[in-house]
Amino acid sequence: MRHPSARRAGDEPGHRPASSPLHPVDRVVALIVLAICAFLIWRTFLFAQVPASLAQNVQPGTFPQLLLYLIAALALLLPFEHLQKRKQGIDIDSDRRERPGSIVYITAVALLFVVGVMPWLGTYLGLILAALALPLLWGERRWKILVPYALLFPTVLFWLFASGLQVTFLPGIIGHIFR
Amino acid sequence: MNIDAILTGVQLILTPTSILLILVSVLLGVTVGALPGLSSTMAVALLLPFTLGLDPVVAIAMMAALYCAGTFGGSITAILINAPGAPPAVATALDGYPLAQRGEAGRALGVAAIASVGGGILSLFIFIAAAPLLASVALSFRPQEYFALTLFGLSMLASISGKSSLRNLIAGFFGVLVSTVGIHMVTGIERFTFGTSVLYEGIDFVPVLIGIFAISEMLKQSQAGDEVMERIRSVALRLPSRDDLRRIWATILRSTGIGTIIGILPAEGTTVAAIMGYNEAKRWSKHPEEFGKGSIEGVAGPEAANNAGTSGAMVPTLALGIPGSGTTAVILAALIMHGFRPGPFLMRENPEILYAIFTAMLIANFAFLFIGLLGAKVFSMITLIPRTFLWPSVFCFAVVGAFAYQQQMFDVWVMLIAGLVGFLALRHGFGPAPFVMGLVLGELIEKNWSQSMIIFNSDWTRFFDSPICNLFFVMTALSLSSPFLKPVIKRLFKRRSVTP
Repeated sequence: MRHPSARRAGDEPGHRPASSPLHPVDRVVALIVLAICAFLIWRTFLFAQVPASLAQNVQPGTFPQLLLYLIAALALLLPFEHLQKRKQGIDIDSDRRERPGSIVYITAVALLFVVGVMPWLGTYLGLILAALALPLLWGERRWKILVPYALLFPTVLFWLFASGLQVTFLPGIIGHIFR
Repeated sequence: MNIDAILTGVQLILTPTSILLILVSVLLGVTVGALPGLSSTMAVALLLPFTLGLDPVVAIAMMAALYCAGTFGGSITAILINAPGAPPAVATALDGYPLAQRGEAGRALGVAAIASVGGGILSLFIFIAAAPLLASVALSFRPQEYFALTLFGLSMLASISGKSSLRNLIAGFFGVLVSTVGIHMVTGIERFTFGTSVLYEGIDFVPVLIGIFAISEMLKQSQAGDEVMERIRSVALRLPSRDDLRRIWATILRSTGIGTIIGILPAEGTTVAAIMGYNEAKRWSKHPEEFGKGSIEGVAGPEAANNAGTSGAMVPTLALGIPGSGTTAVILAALIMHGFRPGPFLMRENPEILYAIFTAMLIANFAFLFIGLLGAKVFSMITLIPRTFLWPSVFCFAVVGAFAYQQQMFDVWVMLIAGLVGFLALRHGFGPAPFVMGLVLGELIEKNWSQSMIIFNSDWTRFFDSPICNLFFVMTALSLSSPFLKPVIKRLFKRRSVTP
């Protein structure tokens, strides 16, 4: 049975020209995969070579090269895959038709920021920052719940790992207090 | 039968601390299973760093218990609020929720629990018999046969979750590629380290697993709204009556068989098992018209099958070192992390682990019968936790877990990057499970390939000298071509049935 959300090529305005057998988004995805493969294949040629007796018939670059050629070959099929999927009534665009909302990018940047400042702030304060900032970013405004949560949850987690599992976390700017 | 190993395995688990830890894992598993968005795979990945200081056998037993309980947990919210906490419970919701709507939530939960426990325990006995048998066969494998077997395991990636076999294969091979980062074991040459000393030892599983399962899901959930679900208020526990049991016992047995076999097949999962269990329950039922409207067989079928699938998936993981699902891929990584050698040698070197896992899963099955049933109402309330608190908590766990493993900030970055890349890849259909399976199997496949090439003096045609290799190569070819062959076969059958 045809998937209810399955669309024909060209259904989406400005998304896929009906005349082209290549899927426009997958063409870009395939190009990215091929570019990564090309770069990594080039890197494999820079691996040091070892004498045949030491390499025992297996040079360090051989296996990764084989894999990369295989991935590249599969990537070449990607832009055409939609033709087969369409026949089966499978909509390969269903998960990516809608662009990610700005909150996804903001969250990603926030995560990078929290991890980035963690060596300076220390793990404990970093966790508190994450527990406070992420709910705020996602629209949480119930301060009576948020503040105790942001203080208590990271403290319990930190204590569990630091005391229970003897993990030495990054001390950061308040590290001397715990020493 | 190795009586010493059985006694050691059982003794390791039957200590107050181990039982307590297993019960905690069950509680955690049911909770995670009940929460839509959180998967047992993610929970096992997050649990990994917690188990660092534990006895390795107990650690693995905890993960196995969590896996079992997580599969059951999904059915609670599927029945009570029509929100399957885990993908395998989707089929349970089809009849479980209509039963709950007509005021029979307790009965539906009772049937789900009995079917889950029935399926889980019966399949455990198949697991305990099949795993050593499979391992003893695999013991005679040489590197070339092992390479062919691992290649078959990888080829099964084509059929793992998701819509695209092609993308699964690409993701899987990228996983294998990531496993080649670091110092080459044969020659000692650096590969893809880009001159960075932290990469000499390669990229570790743990931060990648945590990032790819937890962070990418978190980003996905960041744009989801808080759904308000219709809740079934009265949840009076009611175990199935004698009539109910008479009606479902054959379904449970049938689904247990289906679930165990599907679970044993590398890369198939409990979701496939549950759907097949549901379909077969409907096909064999005397009342197929009740399906979709609140049939207890429609609850028992998928529940028995998906829980049987968990034990089934443990068979290739322990006996061959080939994971049977995404979660068992993480358990396989945990085995390696705790210093075990998964595969046939595990049965020879640490036979007690098999019996320890068996005991732990047995305890887990009985535990979730009580915890799940008595606490069903509480677990259904878990979905009330706002995502604005749930996912930041997952992030904190992920950061601490990734850091704790080797106590270096580099791993936290690896976790984060794996999550971000995983999110983008997932949008384009490249699933995390094939990538993880490739990553976990990568070292094994390269090692066996290298050893074979050394034995064959680089003449790869000698792979075909071995009948076992040939068998696995044929299976690999069939598995790779199955997505293309299936529609052709279907069309052929259709044409034949139309022709008078």
